[in-house]
Amino acid sequence: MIKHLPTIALVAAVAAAVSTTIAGQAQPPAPGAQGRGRAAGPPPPPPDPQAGHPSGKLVIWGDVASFDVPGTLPTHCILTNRFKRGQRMGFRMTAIDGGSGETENTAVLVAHVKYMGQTIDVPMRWRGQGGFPAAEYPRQPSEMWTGVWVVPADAQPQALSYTVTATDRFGRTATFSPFINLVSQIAIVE
Amino acid sequence: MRRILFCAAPVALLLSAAATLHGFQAAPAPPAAGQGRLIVYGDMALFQPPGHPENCILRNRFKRGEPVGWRMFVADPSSGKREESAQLVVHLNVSGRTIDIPMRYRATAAQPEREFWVAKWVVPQDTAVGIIRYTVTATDKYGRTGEFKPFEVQASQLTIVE
Repeated sequence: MIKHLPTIALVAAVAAAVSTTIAGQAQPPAPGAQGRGRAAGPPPPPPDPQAGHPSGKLVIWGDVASFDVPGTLPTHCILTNRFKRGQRMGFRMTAIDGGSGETENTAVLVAHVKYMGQTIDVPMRWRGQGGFPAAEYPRQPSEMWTGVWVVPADAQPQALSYTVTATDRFGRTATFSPFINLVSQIAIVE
Repeated sequence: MRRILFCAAPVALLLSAAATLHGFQAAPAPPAAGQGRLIVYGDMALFQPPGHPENCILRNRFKRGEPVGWRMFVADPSSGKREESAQLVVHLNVSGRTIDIPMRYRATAAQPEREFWVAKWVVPQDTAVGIIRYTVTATDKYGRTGEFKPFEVQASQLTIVE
């Protein structure tokens, strides 16, 4: 037994290393309802990894819209990049597992708004759990993440810039930037 | 020698398992070149002539006579980079018939940073008010295809208004 001790120790050390390596790769579960919106509530359980994921690159894309409330307002969810003070600037994104083309529902997305020399991080919430009005969201579960930033009441008219970043449970990352046209950037107007 | 082999076997097995697990969990293999589906995405904007104060602002509600603009990007699924060989077409469903609008790659030698595709459709005067459904499809030189559909939110659809 004694003469086998070095071997046992070596095997144990390798086993520990394997265990540590695997644990180190595991990503924290995707937080659920972090954003703000009508369906905000207790965080749902983190989604399970989907079969075949990960494959290829994580790709994210989306747009900006007016998230005016209540939802019955005529400007609710219309596309725009110009917002007034107090208006709810809505970020809508999706995340794609490149190899499968499917939604990567473990992604955690954050919009980063450059405002007055600061970067404001806007956590986004996955809307894939469903439960939203069918008349408004005919295709459910939605593949969308949303986040809201309310334009401050004392904001001056100006053009802003933003990016959105994502990380999934497999450690893949992605960054989205809107098209470069200046007039298409988000802007605060009178 | 036999004792060394006896000791080395489980070590090698564990190292092999570690390598396999590491490769499976941390480094997803990209699809082979030319395989997979293209990822197509973009937005809609008002395509007034350059210099117009509302040119290129994001919109989804248009009046008759206004120019609807699409701006799209095509990503290779394995790299996430632009697939420059892609050819894109906007498919509009207007009053029960499909209108195909080929998109044009916008970057030029003078403006290489405009790495996206564009298309324009001026809303005809006889278009009925309401939602117009559309998709955008892409095909590249490898035969890969991809399709874009806007977020399925009623208020965000391309809508013709009075």
